[in-house]
Amino acid sequence: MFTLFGNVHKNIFLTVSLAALLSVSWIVSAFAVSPPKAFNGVCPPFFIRDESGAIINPVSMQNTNKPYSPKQTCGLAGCHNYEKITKGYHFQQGKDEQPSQKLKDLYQWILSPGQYGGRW
Amino acid sequence: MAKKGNRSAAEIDLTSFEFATAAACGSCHPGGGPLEYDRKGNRYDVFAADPKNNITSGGDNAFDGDYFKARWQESGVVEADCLMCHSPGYDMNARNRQLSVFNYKWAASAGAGIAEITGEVKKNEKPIIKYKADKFNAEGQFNLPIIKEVPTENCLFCHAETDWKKKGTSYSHRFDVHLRAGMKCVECHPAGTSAKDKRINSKEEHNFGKGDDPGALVRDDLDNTMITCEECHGKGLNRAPLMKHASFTDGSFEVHQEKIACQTCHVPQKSVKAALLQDSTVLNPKPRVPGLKRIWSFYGPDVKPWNYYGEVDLTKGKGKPLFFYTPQLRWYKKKIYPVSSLYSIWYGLKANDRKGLNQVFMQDIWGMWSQKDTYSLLSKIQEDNGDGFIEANRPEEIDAALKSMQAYLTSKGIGLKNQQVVLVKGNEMYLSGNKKISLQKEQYEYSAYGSTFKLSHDIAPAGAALGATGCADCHRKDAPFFTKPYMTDPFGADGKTKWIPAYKALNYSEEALKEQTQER
Repeated sequence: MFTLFGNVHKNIFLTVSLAALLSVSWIVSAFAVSPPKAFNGVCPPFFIRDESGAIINPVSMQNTNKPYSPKQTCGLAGCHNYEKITKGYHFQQGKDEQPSQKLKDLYQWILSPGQYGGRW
Repeated sequence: MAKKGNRSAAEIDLTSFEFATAAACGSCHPGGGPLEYDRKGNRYDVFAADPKNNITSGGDNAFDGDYFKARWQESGVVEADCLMCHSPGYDMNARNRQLSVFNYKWAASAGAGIAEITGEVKKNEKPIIKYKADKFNAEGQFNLPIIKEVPTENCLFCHAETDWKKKGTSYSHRFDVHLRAGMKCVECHPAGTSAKDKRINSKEEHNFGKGDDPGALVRDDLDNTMITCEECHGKGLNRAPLMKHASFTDGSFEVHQEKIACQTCHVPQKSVKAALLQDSTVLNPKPRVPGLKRIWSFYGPDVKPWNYYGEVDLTKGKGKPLFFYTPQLRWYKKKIYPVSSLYSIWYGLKANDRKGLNQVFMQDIWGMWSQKDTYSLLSKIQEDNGDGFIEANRPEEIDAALKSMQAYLTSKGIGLKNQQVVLVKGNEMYLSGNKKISLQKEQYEYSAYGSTFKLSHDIAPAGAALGATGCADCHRKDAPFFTKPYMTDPFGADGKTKWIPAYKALNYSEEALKEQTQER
């Protein structure tokens, strides 16, 4: 009887532990792949990633021969909108604009009104 | 910048690959945009690595301006580097060092301070990265500070140097009341959800609020999206002191406000030089001027030679030499502003069948001067005014400059059938030493080919502004507002500088001047 009770108790313990372990794994993996969006302006702890999106971990020495990619790290799905952000004029420097006719009439070399292909 | 399509190497000046280097533009470019994608929207390294595109590393690649002599397959691209702006302590020098050796995709790791990189793509080496584990937490996650509102120091990585030469901005606490109050650039230049203006207010929108500068033409559709002086000092936004203008005891403040911008009174003096004159027709002989930039000879507000690049190299960005002067004033959109207006002297190309002008490549001006024994006419260009720099001001000197440049370009096989070399000096286009044509320009500029920038930083507090000690700060016969000499020609045919008093540059008649300088 004591043995039967012990086995049942042990099985329940194992089942609960396994369930807990799976839950944690799910949470961690879900976070690593697609973190929830509402962080109230605070980045949760994050791994840096290489250009393929693979994690670089300098503590466990995982994938440490690759440079980190800001796009794959900060722009990870669910974090920051890299495409929208880089439409800003600091990034485009005029590449996404056409010079006006007035500018083209003055500067024959002009390709954009910004610094990339601009007047000077 | 080279066009996308070119027929030969002779048509190519700066390429997209070179644009990314620290020596060119990459040093002040945060990545992304043209540092990541070519003009057809392809990511450079991916496109170059695809065999079907037939791109050879370092090859001519059909003279494509995005792939000519480029090494994208090895260098990678420069993605937008978030931490450049959002991480205090970001190491811009380390980042730019990587750009200078073509280690483009390693630059962000170096700048963040999380890794050391050895090996240089430029030397045909494969870069090796070694991460610094102490910059990560115990789990191996990134562990350096990140701040949403960009620290001022990070804005100044790029803006400190460019605004030195163009505007003479010190960005120092001594001379700017807003910096002294501990304000950040992004408080006046907000972006995203921090911005009030609907044009730039949306989540993660990274277009920063900007003013309206005649010398800066990118995204003019976003002009005046920044927080204005009136918003803070008229409404007391964020506990800003309310403007009183108490010295206007006669109630004339509104009259002034209609015609005079806030900056005019609140930038009564500059403390750091800006370039008044840029001459790119002769070589700059001064020390510490890097490579091709030797074709630019700068002069300061006093029309004396100024070794700008030498000072940049000597000071390493740790302090700009002081030089006090009163800024020029100009009308811009019906208001008077303090400005830094550039007078430029340069080689142009005038085509018979096209409007406007093209410019001779820097490399060709350098090439000509490097062979000045071959182009012996160049020895006619002499130093006429005792300032240590040669200048092409006399007709025979201008002729010598034009003929030499024409001969050099012809020798390089650059077609001059339908165009001729001209020398543009301020607003005058010289077709020969004795034949010149005046070019169209706006009232506020020396010429359409020299930028004019409004001055909106280094703001003086109320007690130091014009008018603080009374009307006679400006309304008197010898007030700089009306009488300061403004250069109109750095060196005429006799080598001497020509000047006009400020009131003439501001289009005040003699009668108006008499009225305005009556003491109040």
